[in-house]
Amino acid sequence: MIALKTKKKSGHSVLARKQNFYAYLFILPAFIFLFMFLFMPISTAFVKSFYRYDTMSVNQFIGFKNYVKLFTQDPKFWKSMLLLLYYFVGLIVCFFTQIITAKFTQSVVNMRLQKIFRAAFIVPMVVPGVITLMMWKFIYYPGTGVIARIAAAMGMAQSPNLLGNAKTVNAALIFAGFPWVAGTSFIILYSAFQGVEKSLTESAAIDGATGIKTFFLIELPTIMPQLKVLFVYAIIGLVQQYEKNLIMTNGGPNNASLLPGLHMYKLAFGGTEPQFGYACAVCMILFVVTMVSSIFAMRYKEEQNG
Amino acid sequence: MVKRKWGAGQLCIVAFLMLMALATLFPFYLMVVTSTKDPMGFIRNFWGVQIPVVWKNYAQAWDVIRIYVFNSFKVTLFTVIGVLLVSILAGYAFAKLKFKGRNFLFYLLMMFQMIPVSLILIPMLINVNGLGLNNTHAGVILPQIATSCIMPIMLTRGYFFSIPDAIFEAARIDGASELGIIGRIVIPISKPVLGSVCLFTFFGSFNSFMWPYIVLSSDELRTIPIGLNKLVGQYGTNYGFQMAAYTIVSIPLMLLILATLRVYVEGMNLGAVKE
Repeated sequence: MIALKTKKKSGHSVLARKQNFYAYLFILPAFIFLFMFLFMPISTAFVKSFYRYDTMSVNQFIGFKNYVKLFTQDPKFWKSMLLLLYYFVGLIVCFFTQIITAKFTQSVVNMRLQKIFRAAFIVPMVVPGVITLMMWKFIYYPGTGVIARIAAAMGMAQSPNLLGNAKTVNAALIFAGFPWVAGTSFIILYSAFQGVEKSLTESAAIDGATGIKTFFLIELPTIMPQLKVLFVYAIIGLVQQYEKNLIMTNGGPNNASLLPGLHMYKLAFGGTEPQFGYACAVCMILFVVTMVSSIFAMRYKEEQNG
Repeated sequence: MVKRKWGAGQLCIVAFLMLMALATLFPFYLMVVTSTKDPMGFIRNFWGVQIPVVWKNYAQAWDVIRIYVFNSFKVTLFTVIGVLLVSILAGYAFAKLKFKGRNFLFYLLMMFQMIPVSLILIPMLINVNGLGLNNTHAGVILPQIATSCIMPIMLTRGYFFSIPDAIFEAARIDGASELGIIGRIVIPISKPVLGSVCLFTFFGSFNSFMWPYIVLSSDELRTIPIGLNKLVGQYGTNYGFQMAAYTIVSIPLMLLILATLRVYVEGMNLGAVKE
């Protein structure tokens, strides 16, 4: 009896040890990659944010000087943070368009037509972003672009240069990509609307609720968890966004469309003297901002799962 | 069952969606029609196709972007293989093996997912410099595997989880090694999820701009998005040529997603909703 028990126990522990070994072996590659190329960069950013560093000749510890400079002598940075608020308004408009389009696509009765619309909104999202942005730049070109042609047809004497004018550049950048549907959030929203229990909406319809009423009282509350997560992710994406502005305006004219991420990028690569250390300090601040938003996202996600 | 019929509401919805779809596809219409023109045709006829089509644009564009296409395929292929390997192994371990610290390590993985990748590219460049990988394809591929493997691990883990344990136990009793189990059992029955992983990684890597843009400085190493970005300055206002290059790149990608739409959408929902 005792012998049997020990045998069973030791057999179990051999198996467990074997499983332990293979498990660690199998997760090792993933964690090596994550450590090398996600954890290390963050650590580097943290360390180098206390340095004056240009990757070549200068590498000097300067304590909190980068942060002091960032908080007291960098109006460009604070202007770019304020600009984020402007883009935030644009984000809300995009978000509503996505919700409405997803809902409408899901409520097309003819399934064939519904699938065509769905494909039309999903397919463009796999085209390299550069191409879409370049096409929008092409649309905005003064003189030859689509906007210029519309302006000329309406009898405007001077061709508008939307991207070249500090007053219009940010509105034009936000508008680029109109109607902002092609994207992962469309797929998620569309599926979320599909997931709403048919019995709920149908019984509401029998009770005489209109489509609009059903939408606000039943469907929207049901998909609220997904909405919250998508919205928080959209904000995180916004704080990180600079590719669009880099490609279309490079922050110009006269830094009018300089977003914080692009400010950081140009500190490192834009000027004659690369300021990697200072860029790392900006990186750390933006990192903290996005992490705080991410923690909110995680909390919503847990609510959604639980 | 309440049967919904074609009414005024449906008409409005369809009309609205038509407008949205046209607006979404309009830039690509413009891209294709402009690619058929020479500079004179561009001035004379902006909105439509030029007949006969100036095929020379395509020949010229292909000549210039051929090398970028090759580079992109190389980088993407290695990234996809890397992500598949990493995510199959880790997904299997997290789903089907019991080990100390499993929950903690999985939680750690989810923490990594929160790191804003496009913000850490500058310190990443410092690290990649330190490894001597600056201006190499390996310098693009390795970080890209790291930044794009977390969602795939979640996806494979979720999928492997649903495979009954009995299959694995039977295989272990028959003396199969863990790697044998992965190769003979897990991979063959997980084709749908591995297909999604391939698609996401393929599109993500093929279209990524910022990181290759920062790392690659030699022209002959550039990938497609960077190469296309460079075209504008170099060839001035020969829009036909520029748009032909865009068309050559976009149309195959669009056809690919059309052909794999179901797998793509299902994978997206698995990743987004369940995790």
